[in-house]
Amino acid sequence: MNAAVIMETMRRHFTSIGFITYLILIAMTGLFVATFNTPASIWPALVTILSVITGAAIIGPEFSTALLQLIVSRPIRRSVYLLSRVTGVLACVAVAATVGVTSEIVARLLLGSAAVPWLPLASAYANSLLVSLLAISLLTMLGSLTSSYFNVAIYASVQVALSAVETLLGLLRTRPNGLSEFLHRHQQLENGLIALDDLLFPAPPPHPDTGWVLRVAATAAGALVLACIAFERREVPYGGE
Amino acid sequence: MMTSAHQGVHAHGVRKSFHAAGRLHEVLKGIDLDLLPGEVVGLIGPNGAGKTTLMSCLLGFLRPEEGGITFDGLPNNDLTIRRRTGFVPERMNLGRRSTGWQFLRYMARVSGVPRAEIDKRAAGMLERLGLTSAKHANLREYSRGMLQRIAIAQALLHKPDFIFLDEPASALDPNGVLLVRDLINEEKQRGAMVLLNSHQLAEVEKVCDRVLFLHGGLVARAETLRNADRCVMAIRLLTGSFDASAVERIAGTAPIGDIVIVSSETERGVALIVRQLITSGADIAEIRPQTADLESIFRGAS
Repeated sequence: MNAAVIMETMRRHFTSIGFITYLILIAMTGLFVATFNTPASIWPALVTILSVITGAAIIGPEFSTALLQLIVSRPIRRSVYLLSRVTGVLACVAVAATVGVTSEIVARLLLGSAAVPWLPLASAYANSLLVSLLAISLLTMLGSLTSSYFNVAIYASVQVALSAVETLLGLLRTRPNGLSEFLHRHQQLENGLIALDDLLFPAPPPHPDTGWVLRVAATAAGALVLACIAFERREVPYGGE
Repeated sequence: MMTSAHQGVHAHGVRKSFHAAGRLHEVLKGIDLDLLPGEVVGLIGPNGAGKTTLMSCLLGFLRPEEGGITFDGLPNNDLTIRRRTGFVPERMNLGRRSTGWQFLRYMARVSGVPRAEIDKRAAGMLERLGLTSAKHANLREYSRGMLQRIAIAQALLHKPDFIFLDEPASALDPNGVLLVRDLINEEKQRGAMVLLNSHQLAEVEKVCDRVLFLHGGLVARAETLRNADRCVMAIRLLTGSFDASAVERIAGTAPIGDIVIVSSETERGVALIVRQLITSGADIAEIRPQTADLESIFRGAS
Protein backbone atom coordinates (compact mmCIF):
# COMPACT_ATOMS: atom_id res chain seq x y z
CA MET A 1 0.00 0.00 0.00
CA ASN A 2 1.13 3.54 -0.70
CA ALA A 3 -0.02 6.11 1.84
CA ALA A 4 0.40 9.00 -0.61
CA VAL A 5 -1.98 7.42 -3.14
CA ILE A 6 -4.55 6.54 -0.44
CA MET A 7 -4.47 10.05 1.02
CA GLU A 8 -4.63 11.69 -2.42
CA THR A 9 -7.63 9.53 -3.38
CA MET A 10 -9.42 10.52 -0.18
CA ARG A 11 -8.48 14.18 -0.55
CA ARG A 12 -9.93 14.31 -4.06
CA HIS A 13 -13.23 12.87 -2.82
CA PHE A 14 -13.52 15.03 0.27
CA THR A 15 -12.90 18.18 -1.77
CA SER A 16 -15.57 17.22 -4.29
CA ILE A 17 -18.88 19.05 -3.99
CA GLY A 18 -20.66 16.01 -5.42
CA PHE A 19 -19.25 13.71 -2.76
CA ILE A 20 -20.04 16.10 0.09
CA THR A 21 -23.59 16.55 -1.23
CA TYR A 22 -23.98 12.76 -1.34
CA LEU A 23 -22.80 12.50 2.28
CA ILE A 24 -25.43 15.05 3.29
CA LEU A 25 -28.07 13.06 1.40
CA ILE A 26 -27.06 9.87 3.22
CA ALA A 27 -27.13 11.68 6.57
CA MET A 28 -30.62 13.03 5.87
CA THR A 29 -31.77 9.58 4.78
CA GLY A 30 -30.35 8.09 7.98
CA LEU A 31 -32.37 10.62 10.01
CA PHE A 32 -35.52 9.96 7.99
CA VAL A 33 -35.45 6.14 8.19
CA ALA A 34 -35.10 6.31 11.97
CA THR A 35 -38.90 6.59 12.00
CA PHE A 36 -39.22 3.23 10.24
CA ASN A 37 -39.69 -0.01 12.16
CA THR A 38 -37.18 -1.80 9.93
CA PRO A 39 -33.65 -0.57 10.73
CA ALA A 40 -31.16 0.52 8.04
CA SER A 41 -33.79 0.79 5.31
CA ILE A 42 -32.40 3.03 2.57
CA TRP A 43 -28.92 4.34 3.31
CA PRO A 44 -27.12 0.97 2.71
CA ALA A 45 -28.44 1.07 -0.88
CA LEU A 46 -27.17 4.64 -1.23
CA VAL A 47 -23.77 3.52 0.07
CA THR A 48 -23.66 0.74 -2.53
CA ILE A 49 -24.57 3.22 -5.30
CA LEU A 50 -21.78 5.49 -4.03
CA SER A 51 -19.31 2.61 -4.20
CA VAL A 52 -20.28 2.03 -7.86
CA ILE A 53 -19.89 5.74 -8.69
CA THR A 54 -16.53 6.10 -6.95
CA GLY A 55 -15.20 2.65 -7.86
CA ALA A 56 -15.86 3.31 -11.55
CA ALA A 57 -13.12 5.97 -11.56
CA ILE A 58 -10.33 3.53 -10.70
CA ILE A 59 -7.80 2.71 -13.47
CA GLY A 60 -10.12 2.57 -16.53
CA PRO A 61 -10.87 6.30 -16.85
CA GLU A 62 -7.32 7.09 -15.71
CA PHE A 63 -5.99 5.76 -19.03
CA SER A 64 -7.21 8.90 -20.75
CA THR A 65 -5.23 11.17 -18.43
CA ALA A 66 -1.53 11.85 -18.44
CA LEU A 67 -1.52 11.34 -14.67
CA LEU A 68 -1.57 7.54 -14.93
CA GLN A 69 1.49 7.62 -17.20
CA LEU A 70 3.26 9.89 -14.72
CA ILE A 71 2.40 7.50 -11.89
CA VAL A 72 3.55 4.33 -13.65
CA SER A 73 6.84 6.03 -14.53
CA ARG A 74 7.46 6.51 -10.79
CA PRO A 75 8.86 4.06 -8.21
CA ILE A 76 5.54 2.47 -7.32
CA ARG A 77 4.40 -0.98 -8.40
CA ARG A 78 1.25 -0.92 -10.45
CA SER A 79 -0.46 -3.45 -8.18
CA VAL A 80 0.43 -1.29 -5.16
CA TYR A 81 -1.04 1.75 -6.90
CA LEU A 82 -4.21 -0.18 -7.80
CA LEU A 83 -4.72 -1.55 -4.27
CA SER A 84 -3.99 1.87 -2.76
CA ARG A 85 -6.63 3.46 -4.99
CA VAL A 86 -9.13 0.77 -3.95
CA THR A 87 -8.28 1.36 -0.28
CA GLY A 88 -8.71 5.12 -0.66
CA VAL A 89 -12.10 4.73 -2.36
CA LEU A 90 -13.24 2.14 0.18
CA ALA A 91 -12.22 4.49 3.00
CA CYS A 92 -14.42 7.22 1.47
CA VAL A 93 -17.33 4.78 1.15
CA ALA A 94 -16.75 3.70 4.76
CA VAL A 95 -17.10 7.32 5.84
CA ALA A 96 -20.40 7.51 3.93
CA ALA A 97 -21.65 4.29 5.60
CA THR A 98 -20.54 5.65 8.99
CA VAL A 99 -22.48 8.87 8.33
CA GLY A 100 -25.57 6.80 7.43
CA VAL A 101 -25.50 4.51 10.45
CA THR A 102 -24.54 7.29 12.86
CA SER A 103 -27.34 9.60 11.72
CA GLU A 104 -29.89 6.78 12.09
CA ILE A 105 -28.60 5.90 15.59
CA VAL A 106 -28.63 9.55 16.68
CA ALA A 107 -32.16 10.04 15.32
CA ARG A 108 -33.42 6.86 17.00
CA LEU A 109 -31.84 7.96 20.30
CA LEU A 110 -33.41 11.42 20.00
CA LEU A 111 -36.81 10.02 19.09
CA GLY A 112 -36.56 7.58 21.99
CA SER A 113 -39.65 5.70 20.86
CA ALA A 114 -37.98 2.30 20.96
CA ALA A 115 -34.64 0.72 21.80
CA VAL A 116 -31.93 1.23 19.18
CA PRO A 117 -31.62 -2.00 17.12
CA TRP A 118 -27.86 -2.17 17.58
CA LEU A 119 -27.23 -5.61 16.09
CA PRO A 120 -29.23 -5.12 12.86
CA LEU A 121 -27.65 -1.70 12.37
CA ALA A 122 -24.13 -3.06 12.94
CA SER A 123 -24.88 -5.95 10.59
CA ALA A 124 -26.24 -3.59 7.90
CA TYR A 125 -23.18 -1.35 8.30
CA ALA A 126 -20.72 -4.25 7.92
CA ASN A 127 -22.69 -5.82 5.06
CA SER A 128 -22.92 -2.54 3.14
CA LEU A 129 -19.15 -2.15 3.43
CA LEU A 130 -18.59 -5.68 2.21
CA VAL A 131 -20.98 -5.28 -0.74
CA SER A 132 -19.23 -1.98 -1.53
CA LEU A 133 -15.82 -3.68 -1.42
CA LEU A 134 -17.07 -6.27 -3.90
CA ALA A 135 -18.54 -3.63 -6.23
CA ILE A 136 -15.33 -1.57 -6.12
CA SER A 137 -13.21 -4.68 -6.70
CA LEU A 138 -15.28 -5.79 -9.70
CA LEU A 139 -15.23 -2.30 -11.20
CA THR A 140 -11.47 -2.10 -10.66
CA MET A 141 -11.01 -5.46 -12.36
CA LEU A 142 -13.11 -4.32 -15.32
CA GLY A 143 -11.26 -0.98 -15.30
CA SER A 144 -7.91 -2.73 -15.51
CA LEU A 145 -9.11 -4.53 -18.66
CA THR A 146 -10.88 -1.62 -20.37
CA SER A 147 -10.58 2.13 -20.63
CA SER A 148 -12.79 5.14 -19.97
CA TYR A 149 -16.02 4.23 -18.10
CA PHE A 150 -16.58 0.94 -19.92
CA ASN A 151 -16.10 -0.74 -16.54
CA VAL A 152 -19.33 0.65 -15.12
CA ALA A 153 -21.13 0.08 -18.43
CA ILE A 154 -20.17 -3.62 -18.36
CA TYR A 155 -20.93 -3.90 -14.63
CA ALA A 156 -24.42 -2.42 -15.01
CA SER A 157 -25.13 -4.37 -18.20
CA VAL A 158 -24.23 -7.70 -16.58
CA GLN A 159 -26.36 -6.88 -13.54
CA VAL A 160 -29.37 -5.91 -15.65
CA ALA A 161 -28.89 -8.83 -18.05
CA LEU A 162 -28.72 -11.40 -15.25
CA SER A 163 -31.90 -10.07 -13.65
CA ALA A 164 -33.70 -9.92 -17.00
CA VAL A 165 -32.70 -13.44 -18.03
CA GLU A 166 -33.69 -14.85 -14.62
CA THR A 167 -37.10 -13.18 -14.88
CA LEU A 168 -37.55 -14.35 -18.46
CA LEU A 169 -36.65 -17.94 -17.61
CA GLY A 170 -39.06 -17.85 -14.68
CA LEU A 171 -41.86 -16.69 -16.97
CA LEU A 172 -41.05 -19.23 -19.67
CA ARG A 173 -41.02 -22.05 -17.15
CA THR A 174 -44.65 -21.36 -16.26
CA ARG A 175 -45.81 -21.63 -19.89
CA PRO A 176 -46.83 -25.12 -21.05
CA ASN A 177 -44.56 -25.60 -24.05
CA GLY A 178 -41.38 -27.36 -25.13
CA LEU A 179 -39.13 -24.69 -23.74
CA SER A 180 -40.78 -24.99 -20.34
CA GLU A 181 -40.06 -28.72 -20.33
CA PHE A 182 -36.48 -28.08 -21.34
CA LEU A 183 -36.06 -25.59 -18.47
CA HIS A 184 -37.62 -28.01 -16.02
CA ARG A 185 -35.25 -30.75 -17.17
CA HIS A 186 -32.26 -28.38 -16.99
CA GLN A 187 -33.00 -26.61 -13.73
CA GLN A 188 -29.24 -26.22 -13.20
CA LEU A 189 -29.21 -23.57 -15.96
CA GLU A 190 -31.45 -21.26 -13.98
CA ASN A 191 -29.76 -22.17 -10.72
CA GLY A 192 -26.37 -21.34 -12.25
CA LEU A 193 -27.57 -17.91 -13.33
CA ILE A 194 -29.03 -17.22 -9.89
CA ALA A 195 -25.78 -18.36 -8.26
CA LEU A 196 -23.75 -16.11 -10.57
CA ASP A 197 -26.05 -13.17 -9.84
CA ASP A 198 -25.73 -13.82 -6.11
CA LEU A 199 -21.95 -14.14 -6.40
CA LEU A 200 -21.43 -10.87 -8.29
CA PHE A 201 -24.30 -8.80 -6.93
CA PRO A 202 -25.11 -10.30 -3.52
CA ALA A 203 -28.03 -9.07 -1.47
CA PRO A 204 -27.02 -8.61 2.17
CA PRO A 205 -28.60 -11.23 4.48
CA PRO A 206 -31.08 -9.98 7.12
CA HIS A 207 -29.00 -11.51 9.90
CA PRO A 208 -25.21 -11.91 10.37
CA ASP A 209 -24.05 -14.77 8.14
CA THR A 210 -20.40 -15.85 8.28
CA GLY A 211 -20.67 -17.98 5.15
CA TRP A 212 -22.03 -15.03 3.16
CA VAL A 213 -19.27 -12.75 4.50
CA LEU A 214 -16.54 -15.23 3.52
CA ARG A 215 -18.02 -15.78 0.05
CA VAL A 216 -18.29 -12.06 -0.71
CA ALA A 217 -14.81 -11.37 0.68
CA ALA A 218 -13.34 -14.22 -1.39
CA THR A 219 -15.04 -12.95 -4.57
CA ALA A 220 -13.72 -9.44 -3.94
CA ALA A 221 -10.22 -10.79 -3.28
CA GLY A 222 -10.35 -12.85 -6.48
CA ALA A 223 -11.43 -9.79 -8.48
CA LEU A 224 -8.59 -7.73 -7.00
CA VAL A 225 -6.01 -10.41 -7.77
CA LEU A 226 -7.20 -10.52 -11.39
CA ALA A 227 -7.17 -6.71 -11.52
CA CYS A 228 -3.57 -6.60 -10.27
CA ILE A 229 -2.42 -9.23 -12.78
CA ALA A 230 -4.18 -7.45 -15.66
CA PHE A 231 -2.87 -4.00 -14.74
CA GLU A 232 0.71 -5.24 -14.20
CA ARG A 233 0.70 -6.76 -17.68
CA ARG A 234 -1.16 -3.99 -19.45
CA GLU A 235 0.44 -1.42 -21.69
CA VAL A 236 -0.19 2.22 -20.78
CA PRO A 237 0.08 4.10 -24.05
CA TYR A 238 0.04 7.84 -24.34
CA GLY A 239 0.15 10.27 -27.22
CA GLY A 240 -0.98 8.99 -30.56
CA GLU A 241 -1.01 5.23 -29.95
CA MET B 1 24.55 12.31 -8.28
CA MET B 2 26.00 10.50 -11.27
CA THR B 3 29.06 8.32 -10.86
CA SER B 4 31.34 6.53 -13.27
CA ALA B 5 29.23 3.42 -12.67
CA HIS B 6 26.37 5.01 -14.61
CA GLN B 7 26.13 3.65 -18.11
CA GLY B 8 23.12 5.50 -19.45
CA VAL B 9 20.24 4.15 -21.47
CA HIS B 10 20.81 1.41 -24.02
CA ALA B 11 18.31 -0.02 -26.46
CA HIS B 12 19.01 -2.66 -29.04
CA GLY B 13 16.80 -4.15 -31.73
CA VAL B 14 13.61 -2.63 -30.33
CA ARG B 15 10.60 -3.63 -32.40
CA LYS B 16 7.02 -2.65 -31.74
CA SER B 17 3.86 -3.19 -33.77
CA PHE B 18 0.23 -2.20 -33.42
CA HIS B 19 -2.93 -3.68 -34.84
CA ALA B 20 -4.99 -1.05 -36.60
CA ALA B 21 -7.89 -1.50 -39.02
CA GLY B 22 -7.26 -5.24 -39.13
CA ARG B 23 -3.63 -4.80 -40.16
CA LEU B 24 -0.38 -5.08 -38.27
CA HIS B 25 1.64 -1.87 -38.40
CA GLU B 26 5.28 -2.19 -37.45
CA VAL B 27 6.05 1.19 -35.90
CA LEU B 28 9.56 0.46 -34.60
CA LYS B 29 11.63 -1.81 -36.84
CA GLY B 30 14.70 -2.48 -34.76
CA ILE B 31 15.89 0.62 -32.94
CA ASP B 32 19.41 0.73 -31.50
CA LEU B 33 20.47 3.66 -29.39
CA ASP B 34 22.82 4.67 -26.60
CA LEU B 35 22.05 7.69 -24.44
CA LEU B 36 24.90 8.66 -22.18
CA PRO B 37 24.94 10.47 -18.83
CA GLY B 38 25.35 14.22 -19.19
CA GLU B 39 24.13 14.12 -22.77
CA VAL B 40 21.17 15.92 -24.31
CA VAL B 41 19.81 13.99 -27.28
CA GLY B 42 17.12 15.25 -29.62
CA LEU B 43 14.57 12.93 -31.16
CA ILE B 44 13.21 14.31 -34.41
CA GLY B 45 11.27 12.94 -37.31
CA PRO B 46 8.04 13.34 -39.25
CA ASN B 47 4.65 12.54 -37.74
CA GLY B 48 4.15 8.79 -37.46
CA ALA B 49 7.87 8.08 -37.42
CA GLY B 50 7.56 6.32 -34.08
CA LYS B 51 9.03 8.96 -31.73
CA THR B 52 6.28 8.71 -29.12
CA THR B 53 6.22 4.92 -29.42
CA LEU B 54 9.98 4.80 -28.87
CA MET B 55 9.69 7.06 -25.84
CA SER B 56 6.84 4.90 -24.50
CA CYS B 57 8.96 1.76 -24.91
CA LEU B 58 11.93 3.39 -23.18
CA LEU B 59 9.72 4.46 -20.27
CA GLY B 60 8.12 1.01 -19.98
CA PHE B 61 4.61 2.14 -20.97
CA LEU B 62 4.76 -0.19 -23.96
CA ARG B 63 6.47 -3.58 -24.20
CA PRO B 64 8.56 -4.13 -27.31
CA GLU B 65 8.00 -7.45 -29.09
CA GLU B 66 11.72 -7.79 -29.62
CA GLY B 67 14.86 -6.16 -28.34
CA GLY B 68 16.01 -4.98 -24.97
CA ILE B 69 16.16 -1.72 -23.03
CA THR B 70 18.37 -1.12 -20.02
CA PHE B 71 19.01 1.87 -17.78
CA ASP B 72 22.44 1.61 -16.16
CA GLY B 73 22.31 -2.12 -16.90
CA LEU B 74 18.94 -2.62 -15.19
CA PRO B 75 15.54 -3.20 -16.81
CA ASN B 76 13.45 -0.08 -17.30
CA ASN B 77 10.72 -1.29 -14.91
CA ASP B 78 13.13 -1.63 -12.01
CA LEU B 79 11.88 0.59 -9.18
CA THR B 80 15.36 1.99 -8.46
CA ILE B 81 15.49 3.13 -12.09
CA ARG B 82 12.01 4.65 -11.92
CA ARG B 83 13.09 6.58 -8.84
CA ARG B 84 15.71 8.21 -11.10
CA THR B 85 13.42 8.85 -14.07
CA GLY B 86 11.56 12.05 -14.92
CA PHE B 87 9.01 12.40 -17.69
CA VAL B 88 7.11 15.31 -19.22
CA PRO B 89 4.17 14.08 -21.30
CA GLU B 90 2.98 15.88 -24.37
CA ARG B 91 -0.62 15.84 -23.22
CA MET B 92 -1.37 17.72 -20.02
CA ASN B 93 -4.61 16.21 -18.77
CA LEU B 94 -3.39 16.12 -15.18
CA GLY B 95 -5.50 15.71 -12.03
CA ARG B 96 -7.89 18.62 -12.32
CA ARG B 97 -9.13 18.32 -8.73
CA SER B 98 -5.82 19.56 -7.34
CA THR B 99 -4.01 22.83 -6.99
CA GLY B 100 -0.53 23.13 -8.42
CA TRP B 101 0.89 22.87 -4.92
CA GLN B 102 -1.11 19.72 -4.08
CA PHE B 103 -0.21 18.11 -7.40
CA LEU B 104 3.52 18.73 -6.96
CA ARG B 105 3.51 17.47 -3.38
CA TYR B 106 1.68 14.30 -4.46
CA MET B 107 4.13 13.67 -7.29
CA ALA B 108 7.05 14.27 -4.92
CA ARG B 109 5.67 11.71 -2.48
CA VAL B 110 5.14 9.00 -5.10
CA SER B 111 8.58 9.78 -6.51
CA GLY B 112 10.19 8.94 -3.19
CA VAL B 113 11.35 12.45 -2.26
CA PRO B 114 12.19 12.43 1.48
CA ARG B 115 9.21 13.78 3.44
CA ALA B 116 11.30 16.52 5.05
CA GLU B 117 12.32 17.89 1.64
CA ILE B 118 8.98 17.77 -0.17
CA ASP B 119 7.76 21.29 0.63
CA LYS B 120 11.15 22.86 0.01
CA ARG B 121 11.60 21.16 -3.34
CA ALA B 122 8.03 21.81 -4.48
CA ALA B 123 8.29 25.49 -3.54
CA GLY B 124 11.69 25.71 -5.26
CA MET B 125 10.37 24.21 -8.50
CA LEU B 126 7.28 26.44 -8.49
CA GLU B 127 9.53 29.45 -8.01
CA ARG B 128 11.88 28.30 -10.78
CA LEU B 129 9.02 27.70 -13.20
CA GLY B 130 7.36 31.02 -12.36
CA LEU B 131 4.25 29.44 -10.85
CA THR B 132 4.53 30.61 -7.23
CA SER B 133 1.65 33.08 -7.56
CA ALA B 134 -0.56 30.34 -9.06
CA LYS B 135 0.37 27.57 -6.68
CA HIS B 136 -2.98 27.58 -4.88
CA ALA B 137 -5.02 27.84 -8.08
CA ASN B 138 -6.76 24.70 -9.28
CA LEU B 139 -5.08 22.97 -12.22
CA ARG B 140 -8.28 23.34 -14.23
CA GLU B 141 -7.68 27.08 -14.12
CA TYR B 142 -4.15 26.71 -15.51
CA SER B 143 -3.47 27.70 -19.10
CA ARG B 144 -1.82 25.12 -21.37
CA GLY B 145 1.52 26.85 -20.89
CA MET B 146 1.14 26.76 -17.10
CA LEU B 147 0.25 23.05 -17.24
CA GLN B 148 3.37 22.48 -19.30
CA ARG B 149 5.42 24.33 -16.70
CA ILE B 150 4.01 22.30 -13.83
CA ALA B 151 4.57 19.09 -15.80
CA ILE B 152 8.23 20.10 -16.14
CA ALA B 153 8.35 20.87 -12.40
CA GLN B 154 7.05 17.39 -11.45
CA ALA B 155 9.56 15.76 -13.80
CA LEU B 156 12.55 17.50 -12.24
CA LEU B 157 11.72 17.85 -8.56
CA HIS B 158 13.16 14.47 -7.57
CA LYS B 159 16.44 15.24 -9.39
CA PRO B 160 16.22 12.38 -11.90
CA ASP B 161 19.17 11.00 -13.84
CA PHE B 162 17.08 10.02 -16.88
CA ILE B 163 14.84 12.77 -18.20
CA PHE B 164 12.36 12.27 -21.03
CA LEU B 165 10.76 15.41 -22.44
CA ASP B 166 7.97 15.09 -24.99
CA GLU B 167 7.41 18.49 -26.62
CA PRO B 168 8.10 20.30 -23.34
CA ALA B 169 7.93 23.81 -24.77
CA SER B 170 5.19 23.50 -27.40
CA ALA B 171 2.78 25.75 -25.46
CA LEU B 172 5.30 28.07 -23.84
CA ASP B 173 5.89 31.74 -24.52
CA PRO B 174 9.42 32.88 -25.48
CA ASN B 175 10.37 33.34 -21.81
CA GLY B 176 9.19 29.82 -21.09
CA VAL B 177 11.18 28.45 -24.03
CA LEU B 178 14.32 30.17 -22.68
CA LEU B 179 13.57 28.78 -19.23
CA VAL B 180 13.27 25.23 -20.56
CA ARG B 181 16.56 25.70 -22.41
CA ASP B 182 18.24 26.81 -19.17
CA LEU B 183 16.73 23.92 -17.21
CA ILE B 184 17.92 21.38 -19.78
CA ASN B 185 21.43 22.82 -19.61
CA GLU B 186 21.36 22.72 -15.81
CA GLU B 187 20.27 19.08 -15.83
CA LYS B 188 23.01 18.27 -18.33
CA GLN B 189 25.59 19.98 -16.09
CA ARG B 190 24.26 17.93 -13.15
CA GLY B 191 25.03 14.81 -15.19
CA ALA B 192 21.52 13.80 -16.20
CA MET B 193 20.71 12.26 -19.55
CA VAL B 194 17.99 14.17 -21.40
CA LEU B 195 16.00 12.82 -24.35
CA LEU B 196 14.08 15.63 -26.02
CA ASN B 197 11.29 14.80 -28.45
CA SER B 198 10.44 17.99 -30.28
CA HIS B 199 9.32 19.37 -33.60
CA GLN B 200 10.96 22.71 -32.76
CA LEU B 201 14.17 22.14 -34.71
CA ALA B 202 15.68 25.47 -33.67
CA GLU B 203 15.35 24.53 -30.01
CA VAL B 204 16.72 21.05 -30.59
CA GLU B 205 19.67 22.60 -32.38
CA LYS B 206 20.31 24.97 -29.48
CA VAL B 207 20.24 22.50 -26.60
CA CYS B 208 21.09 19.04 -27.95
CA ASP B 209 24.50 17.45 -28.20
CA ARG B 210 23.23 14.84 -30.61
CA VAL B 211 20.15 14.32 -32.65
CA LEU B 212 18.51 11.09 -33.75
CA PHE B 213 16.38 11.33 -36.85
CA LEU B 214 13.64 8.72 -36.76
CA HIS B 215 12.07 7.74 -40.05
CA GLY B 216 10.05 4.68 -40.97
CA GLY B 217 10.59 3.10 -37.56
CA LEU B 218 14.38 3.27 -37.74
CA VAL B 219 17.09 5.69 -36.69
CA ALA B 220 17.63 6.97 -40.22
CA ARG B 221 20.39 9.35 -39.22
CA ALA B 222 22.35 10.26 -36.09
CA GLU B 223 24.09 13.60 -36.07
CA THR B 224 26.48 15.10 -33.54
CA LEU B 225 25.60 18.77 -33.05
CA ARG B 226 28.16 19.60 -30.43
CA ASN B 227 31.47 17.93 -29.95
CA ALA B 228 32.49 18.23 -26.34
CA ASP B 229 36.17 17.71 -27.26
CA ARG B 230 36.40 20.41 -29.92
CA CYS B 231 35.40 23.99 -30.40
CA VAL B 232 33.98 24.44 -33.91
CA MET B 233 33.07 27.90 -35.23
CA ALA B 234 31.65 29.19 -38.49
CA ILE B 235 33.33 32.47 -39.50
CA ARG B 236 31.72 34.67 -42.12
CA LEU B 237 34.20 36.88 -43.93
CA LEU B 238 33.38 40.07 -45.80
CA THR B 239 33.23 39.38 -49.54
CA GLY B 240 36.39 40.49 -51.37
CA SER B 241 38.34 41.07 -48.19
CA PHE B 242 40.20 37.74 -48.15
CA ASP B 243 42.43 35.52 -50.17
CA ALA B 244 40.94 32.00 -50.26
CA SER B 245 44.32 30.24 -50.35
CA ALA B 246 45.58 32.26 -47.38
CA VAL B 247 42.42 31.49 -45.44
CA GLU B 248 42.78 27.78 -46.24
CA ARG B 249 46.40 27.82 -45.07
CA ILE B 250 45.45 29.47 -41.74
CA ALA B 251 42.17 27.66 -41.00
CA GLY B 252 43.12 24.29 -42.44
CA THR B 253 39.94 24.21 -44.56
CA ALA B 254 38.98 26.11 -47.66
CA PRO B 255 36.20 28.69 -47.32
CA ILE B 256 32.82 27.79 -48.81
CA GLY B 257 31.62 31.04 -50.28
CA ASP B 258 32.27 33.60 -47.55
CA ILE B 259 32.21 31.08 -44.71
CA VAL B 260 35.12 29.18 -43.28
CA ILE B 261 34.72 26.52 -40.60
CA VAL B 262 37.50 26.51 -38.04
CA SER B 263 38.09 23.85 -35.45
CA SER B 264 40.35 23.72 -32.43
CA GLU B 265 40.56 21.88 -29.13
CA THR B 266 40.16 25.14 -27.22
CA GLU B 267 38.49 28.51 -27.64
CA ARG B 268 41.99 30.06 -27.36
CA GLY B 269 42.98 28.03 -30.45
CA VAL B 270 40.01 29.47 -32.36
CA ALA B 271 40.93 32.98 -31.16
CA LEU B 272 44.45 32.47 -32.52
CA ILE B 273 43.08 31.47 -35.93
CA VAL B 274 40.78 34.52 -35.94
CA ARG B 275 43.76 36.80 -35.16
CA GLN B 276 45.77 35.23 -38.01
CA LEU B 277 42.85 35.70 -40.42
CA ILE B 278 42.62 39.40 -39.51
CA THR B 279 46.39 39.77 -39.88
CA SER B 280 46.09 38.22 -43.37
CA GLY B 281 43.74 41.07 -44.31
CA ALA B 282 40.41 39.26 -44.02
CA ASP B 283 37.52 41.26 -42.53
CA ILE B 284 35.28 39.22 -40.21
CA ALA B 285 31.53 39.86 -40.34
CA GLU B 286 30.29 37.16 -37.94
CA ILE B 287 31.51 34.31 -35.75
CA ARG B 288 29.08 31.72 -34.44
CA PRO B 289 29.22 28.15 -33.10
CA GLN B 290 28.91 25.65 -35.90
CA THR B 291 26.13 23.11 -35.54
CA ALA B 292 24.53 20.79 -38.01
CA ASP B 293 21.70 22.35 -39.98
CA LEU B 294 18.77 20.34 -38.70
CA GLU B 295 16.37 21.75 -41.23
CA SER B 296 18.54 20.44 -44.07
CA ILE B 297 18.92 17.10 -42.31
CA PHE B 298 15.16 16.88 -41.79
CA ARG B 299 14.44 17.73 -45.42
CA GLY B 300 17.15 15.44 -46.73
CA ALA B 301 16.23 12.42 -44.66
CA SER B 302 12.43 12.53 -44.77
